[in-house]
Amino acid sequence: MHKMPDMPYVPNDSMNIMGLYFPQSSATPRILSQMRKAIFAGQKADISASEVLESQKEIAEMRKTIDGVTPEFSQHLNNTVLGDGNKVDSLRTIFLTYADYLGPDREVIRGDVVIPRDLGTHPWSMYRGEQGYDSVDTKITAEESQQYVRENGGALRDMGIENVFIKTSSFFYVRDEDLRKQGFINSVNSEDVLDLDTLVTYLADSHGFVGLQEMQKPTEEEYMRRAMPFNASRQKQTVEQKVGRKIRQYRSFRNDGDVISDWGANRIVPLTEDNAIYWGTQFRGNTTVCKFATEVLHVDDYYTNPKPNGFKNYNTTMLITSPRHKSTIRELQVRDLLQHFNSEINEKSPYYHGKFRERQGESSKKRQRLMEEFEYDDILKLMFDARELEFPVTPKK
Amino acid sequence: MDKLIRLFGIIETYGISRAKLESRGIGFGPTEENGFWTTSQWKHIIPFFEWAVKNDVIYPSGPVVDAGSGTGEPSTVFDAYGFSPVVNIELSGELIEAANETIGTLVSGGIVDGDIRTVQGDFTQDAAYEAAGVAFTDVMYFYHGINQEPLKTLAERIKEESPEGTKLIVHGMFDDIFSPDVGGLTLEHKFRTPDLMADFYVYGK
Repeated sequence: MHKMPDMPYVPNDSMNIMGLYFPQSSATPRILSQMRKAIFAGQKADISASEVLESQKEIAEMRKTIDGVTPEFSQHLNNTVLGDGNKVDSLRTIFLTYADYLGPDREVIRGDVVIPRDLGTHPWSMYRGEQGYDSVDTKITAEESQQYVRENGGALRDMGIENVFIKTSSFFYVRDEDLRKQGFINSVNSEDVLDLDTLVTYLADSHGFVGLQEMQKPTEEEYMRRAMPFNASRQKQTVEQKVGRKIRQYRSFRNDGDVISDWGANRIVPLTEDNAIYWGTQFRGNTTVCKFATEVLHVDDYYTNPKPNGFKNYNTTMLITSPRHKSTIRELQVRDLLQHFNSEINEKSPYYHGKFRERQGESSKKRQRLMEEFEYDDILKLMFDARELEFPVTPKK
Repeated sequence: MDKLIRLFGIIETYGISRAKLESRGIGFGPTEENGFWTTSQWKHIIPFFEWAVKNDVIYPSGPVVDAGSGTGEPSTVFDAYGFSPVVNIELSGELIEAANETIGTLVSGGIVDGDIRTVQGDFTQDAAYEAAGVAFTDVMYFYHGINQEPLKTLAERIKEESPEGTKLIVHGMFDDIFSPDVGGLTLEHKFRTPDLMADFYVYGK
């Protein structure tokens, strides 16, 4: 009797992983689909270099489109949410970069350090021109990181750090009024002084270390007493890593909710659950944010149906259009402060984000090995022009 | 190293080298991508090689001569596809310097590992071939970014002296009115690049 050959399982996707950004017929989805089939079939498919060249061009154009929309859309969203529809007086932009501090042998002396920069209340002029970088977002990340390394070279050197390797960055928007009320801005000799390092521990995951010093994360009680509503935005600089993770996932891509939609994303973090439900509902249907029209493509409403671990959130995929910009996809995430604390900051929470990255099954590991063996990881980096940002710490003179 | 990774290593190295050499006043020639045809655009060269090798229009073998090689981009792509030896012949000393420095960087970085020889000289004359250690009649593939006068002379020499099966690849922008004058060689294949901005004609003896 003939034995049937083992047939590998290849997911039958009805939607392409980057289908919200590129039509099915374009080079990027074609390559990603080839890669996905190859790693599930366990057989390398050669990727065409000319398709990679085409894909690079598509991706660079899309990145510029997303980049071009980010500042204005974020500004209008900030006015809508934090200014009750009016322009917010003194809305401060805090720019956070995550970095690894590297020693003489490139060993990680301190990983996932958050480097905070206060961009003040009028940062928008910084958003002009990418000046040789792939996006304005990357330009600001590079410039602010370099400035930080220059300003703190001595202290970094004293810690044995020779290079600062940049990973990701995001913008946080908070009202000065709230910062004063919550004691993050204090008057010293009649001048306002911002306690930036402490503030960071209330905005994002500090991993216990901010800039140059150990910083305790706030307890839930401290957090709920001092945290204030904020908005955030970012262009995902590690999108190629997410694409790599997604193309080796077992579950097939069936609709807009399964595929990548957060290349450009905004987050609203209001005070209470009621506020979060209010904003989630506002953006659940098609609406306008000043001159931008938003068309909702997909909503994951985890407030009505929380995840099994208890996490509540709204994830809305929107097509946004305006007379001055090319239409583009953005993801809007809405969650209240307590959800933010438990998902981003509180390591004991069942849905703390750090926990998910560690889990990976055997078959997933095998597919990851194939990604490396087929050199698809490298090809993704080429397609997405994933250049590494790293800055040397200048030796003492 | 995967061929694709090698090709993109070449592109990146040329980009860095171009900036470095131009800041020292060493020219690479025109590289505009505003619709004008130039000989050194990767988006033209790479699709041609992919198509030609996949469809058995050319086979990885040698010797190959890039006649009028400029800064040597096609030679590195020939190398990545396994052609060897590859000879660059170029009149301009400045372009030779740029080619040598860039190819040297590629070799020391392990991106190019074949036999690429770059000589200064006239590709219609034997002296250049002698300097490269390759006889004109042994060359299996000639590659040329179009320059009508010397091309005609080169094609006539191929017609007269080269063995059957020798190929001449001409890179340019052609149509029914303007096409290369190759003195009676047979046009075997035509390839137009995906952006429709360049053609590669492959002639055979």
